[in-house]
Amino acid sequence: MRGDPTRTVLVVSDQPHPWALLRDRVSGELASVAWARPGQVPRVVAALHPGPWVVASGEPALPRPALEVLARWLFAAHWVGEPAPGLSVRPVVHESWGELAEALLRQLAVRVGGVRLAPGRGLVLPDGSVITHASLLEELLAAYPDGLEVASAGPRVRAALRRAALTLERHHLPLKVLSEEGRVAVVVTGPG
Amino acid sequence: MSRVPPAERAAGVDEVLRHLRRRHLNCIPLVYSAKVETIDDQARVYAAHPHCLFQSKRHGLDRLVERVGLLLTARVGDLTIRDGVVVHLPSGEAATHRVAVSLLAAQLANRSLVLRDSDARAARRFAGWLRERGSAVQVRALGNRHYRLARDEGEPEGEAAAGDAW
Repeated sequence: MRGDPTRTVLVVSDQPHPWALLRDRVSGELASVAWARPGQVPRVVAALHPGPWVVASGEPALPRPALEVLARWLFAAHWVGEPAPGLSVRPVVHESWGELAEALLRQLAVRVGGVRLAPGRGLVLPDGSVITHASLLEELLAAYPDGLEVASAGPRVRAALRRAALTLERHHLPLKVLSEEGRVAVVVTGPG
Repeated sequence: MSRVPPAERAAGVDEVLRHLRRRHLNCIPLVYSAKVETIDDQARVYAAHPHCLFQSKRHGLDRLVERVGLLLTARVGDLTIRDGVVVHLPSGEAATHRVAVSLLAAQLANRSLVLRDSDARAARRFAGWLRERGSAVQVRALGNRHYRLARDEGEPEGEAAAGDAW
């Protein structure tokens, strides 16, 4: 049987304890949890396909190579304490790792317009069918309903946004991708 | 793996775990090692296989055997594994398909199984078998070929998930 990688919550932390907490609380068929020290981010992200679904951290600063590699992807970011400057998305800030874990569990269970995260990767549609290769939509579900505040959207992100809009259209889903004034979100346009 | 003669060691532990993750998705690796006691140690192994279980060598071989034994005698609701088959305790009847056994063992490890083709059909037959016997356990399709057991009330054992039961 060929592998079926699961979407990844990437914990960026100098110490492994936050990773262990999220692994115990969040890890399952909907997400796996990986750990990288700040200096290891480029190597760890390079091994992820297609990239992190969520980045969780409590680091007040990240080295430039980490920021550069993360800027290639659109992801939901969750931070404990003051977020690191220079991130390409604005993180959701939490007071504790426990609170952050709770937020992730809520996002894993989110259902928007009848669409939810499929185990492993992809989305389960209202009719029960599954589509894969919808990573941007998975990330927008992780940020529902507020969406992602994006400092800069590179060509890869813009292309992913176009693909996501086409996917919604092709499957006649009651959802729409909104991209305006530095914010990207998925909104419901009709009954699911 | 430390018992394999150096000349015959074609792959390291990490490579074996990565191979299991890629090619044998439903395998539950139990890593028996002296180097899995700290979170740091576990993080390194987990990078190669994010669903492995750990058993410290410090606790000895007996504890390993006990741990494996527990996985292979899993009890979920009114089902248990006995002599390599799934037994419905109220009726005493047995389901012998390996997928049924895997579903129970996976439940104890808090995992779902990824099943395709004939294995997915076997899971559906097992679901029917449970229904016919009025079992308190059902097979739940989580979507995307993932399956796990759930109590009849609707929630999977140990973890909530949305899915369709047969």
